[in-house]
Amino acid sequence: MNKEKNPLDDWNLFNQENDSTETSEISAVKKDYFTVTEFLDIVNIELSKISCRVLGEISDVNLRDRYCFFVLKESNPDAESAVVECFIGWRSFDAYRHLLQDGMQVIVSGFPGIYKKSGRFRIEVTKIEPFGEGALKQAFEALKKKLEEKGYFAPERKKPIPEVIQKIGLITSPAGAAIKDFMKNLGQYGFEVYHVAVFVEGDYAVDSIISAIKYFNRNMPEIDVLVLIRGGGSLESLKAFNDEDVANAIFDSKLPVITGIGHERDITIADLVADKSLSTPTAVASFIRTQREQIIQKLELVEEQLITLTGTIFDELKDSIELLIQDVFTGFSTIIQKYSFSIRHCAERMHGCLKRVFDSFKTIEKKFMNKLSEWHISIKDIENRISILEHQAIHSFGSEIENIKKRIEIAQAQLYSLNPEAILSKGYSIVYDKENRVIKNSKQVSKKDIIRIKLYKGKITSIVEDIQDS
Amino acid sequence: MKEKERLKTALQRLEKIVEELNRKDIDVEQGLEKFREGVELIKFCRSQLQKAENEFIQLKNELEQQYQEDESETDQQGE
Repeated sequence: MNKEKNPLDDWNLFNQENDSTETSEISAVKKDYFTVTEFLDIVNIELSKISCRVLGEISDVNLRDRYCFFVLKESNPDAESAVVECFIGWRSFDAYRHLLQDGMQVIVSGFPGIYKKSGRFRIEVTKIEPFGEGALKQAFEALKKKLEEKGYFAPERKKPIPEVIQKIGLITSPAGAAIKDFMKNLGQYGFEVYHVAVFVEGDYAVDSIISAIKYFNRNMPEIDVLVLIRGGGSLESLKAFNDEDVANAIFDSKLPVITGIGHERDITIADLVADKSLSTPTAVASFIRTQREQIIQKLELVEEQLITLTGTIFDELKDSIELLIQDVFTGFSTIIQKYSFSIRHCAERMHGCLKRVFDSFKTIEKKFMNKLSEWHISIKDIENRISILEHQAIHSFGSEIENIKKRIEIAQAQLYSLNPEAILSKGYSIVYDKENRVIKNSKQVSKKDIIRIKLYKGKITSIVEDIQDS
Repeated sequence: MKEKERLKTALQRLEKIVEELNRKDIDVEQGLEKFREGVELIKFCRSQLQKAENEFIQLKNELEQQYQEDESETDQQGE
């Protein structure tokens, strides 16, 4: 036996309630009843497997802060009256709040179930779609009001359309009149058109349009403008362009969006949110083309103006250059005059200065020459004095020498005249003893002494024979 | 100068010897002695005088020569 209670087993058990007593006995052992909670859990699990779409008319709307209760009535007037209670929780409430109006014909998607606290059957709604022209119109108005309150249509929040459009992100169906009309009316101006093919109606329309807008924003930020177009159709077929998510995608787009949806009279939520809205795909193309043509015209005008202006500027420049040339020549000669004047002035001044220098130099030279001659004179004087002194010296020394000479001669003459031997010439002689002493007394000698006699001429050596005393 | 001094002294000595020899009381021996000295002094004086004179003449010539050179130099500068 399974310890885990299989709800399906229980369900089977529930179905076989009136079967044999054997089973009852077994049930009695096992447990042959549910608690209310268990019962409702099982029922709700089973009911949640039934995903349903139910058509009806909304009534008895009981709006709360984050959720809502309402009743869906049978909308077929031929059928018997029937109602089912509905609950929309916080996950879906905000997206469909604008559709929760009494009398609105809608298809409700969701899961059936029993609310445990009240035991009442109801559908837990996940999606509400308006049904039929009237409902769509009503839904359109409701969404318009809601988005208007959120400020989606405010002109101040809309992105400006660039004046020069070159790269176009085209979002539309590859087939159909819209793309043909658009391309035909764009004209041959070399626009770069990047086309992302989308479904413009049906179940995939909303998602494909949203992802196309996001694709351009993410991958081609260099695009100048997004163009969202579609040919005319019923309100039903334009449903995707009245979708809130599409409106959000246009609102969030960083690239400016131009719409051209449906015929002249069709206005969709997408048109209202778009940064610029035109009635048809052709109108969008014409707008872009006209803008380009206007730019070209403007350019041509500017070109003409430029040429004219340039000519004027050249003429003015020429005139002013001629004037400048004249000025330059005049100015140049003035400058030359000025310079020649100042040069002459300078030259004169220099001449004066030089003259002064030369004059002073001459004075100095003269002074110097005077001094020189003075020196010369004094030198001559000194020379003279020296030569006088020299003469004097020579003279005096010479006379001194003469004087000395004379004195010597006198002394010599006197000396010679006084020579004691000079007397010998008169016959006198000098007698010396053996010791060479002059004998002046006979007593100085004895007999037989040898004496020497000096004569005027010659000498005599003799022996003393006799001595006579005087 | 020294030589001049010596010459002067020698001359004075010579003159003194002459003076001494002129005295009557001088004896032959002393006289001879002095005479010999006087002769030597005369010789010395003469030689010294000759030397001085030669030097003097030489210096005088040098001076004259220099003077002539100076003269010719100033003449040249004058030109």
